Amino acid sequence: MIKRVQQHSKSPFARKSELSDDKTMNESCQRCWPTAYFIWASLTLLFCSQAFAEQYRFDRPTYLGNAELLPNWAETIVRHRAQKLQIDTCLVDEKLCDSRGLKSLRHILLRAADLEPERQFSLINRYVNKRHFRRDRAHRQLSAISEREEVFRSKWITLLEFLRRGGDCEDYATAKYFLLRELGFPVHDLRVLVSYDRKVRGYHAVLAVRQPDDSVWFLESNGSIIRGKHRGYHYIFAVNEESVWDHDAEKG
Amino acid sequence: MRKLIWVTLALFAGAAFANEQVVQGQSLKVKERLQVIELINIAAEKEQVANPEPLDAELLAILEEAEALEEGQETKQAE
Repeated sequence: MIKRVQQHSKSPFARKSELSDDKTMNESCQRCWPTAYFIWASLTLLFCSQAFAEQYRFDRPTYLGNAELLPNWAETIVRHRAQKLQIDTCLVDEKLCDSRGLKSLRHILLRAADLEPERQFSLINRYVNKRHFRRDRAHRQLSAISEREEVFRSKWITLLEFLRRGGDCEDYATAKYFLLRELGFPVHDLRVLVSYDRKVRGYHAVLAVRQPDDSVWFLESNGSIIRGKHRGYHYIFAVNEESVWDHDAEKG
Repeated sequence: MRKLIWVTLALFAGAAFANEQVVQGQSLKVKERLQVIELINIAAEKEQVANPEPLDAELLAILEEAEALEEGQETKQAE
């Protein structure tokens, strides 16, 4: 009863002031909504970009076929196998190494053999990335696939050819591939992966290495090793000495 | 509240289909696909990262020794 009396006893001025307080609160809420929307949208976008970062999966791409389907790559493997004799001979005895490059390669392979895999990746990545970047020259060649003369802008080279004269991104990836194979990594855990790099707006190659937990590490030519998801790459195709995989076919 | 739900849906849908829109090509036969792959110009040169993978002293020593061998200098090799 006393409460009711107190409520009724409020002056008209006090009631007016309460009303104006509500109005101010409404106005300030209206003003803070855009900020809240902005923060919320940013957080959602951040979440989306993380969730949709392309995770490379060794079992996802379409299997195109045997490595021989890509003649230039297949020829590179054949050349490497022929040159492997030089590497093997050099590994047996330093005096049998017929170049300084081979001596340094021998040193790296022998010293890396006792390291754990993660340190092997770091060593191989740095050893290869120190090489001279040399862009391929465009050349006309008869294509074994289309059976007509085409302009090729990329040329695959072997490990020894790369150590002699350097190369560009696919050659860095290929050299790392052959070095890790020399260190005993199984062929089914290694792929030279060609992607479209949205950041540099060009085709780029990295070495993809499957880890025991099925995650994939990328040995980059820019000095980094990316563990797991990689944003900014649109995967195109992958090769190793046995097979060719197509990444675009799964989306076509 | 309804607006919020619509915007959320739009954002998720946009993110989910963004990649699909980039690659909506025809399904090519293997030979045609190989022809395309064969002629890709893989030449992107990426700038070296400011902080490359850190290496410990042992790995740095191995690299230095390898470099010395390449330059024709004799090194102590711990093999």
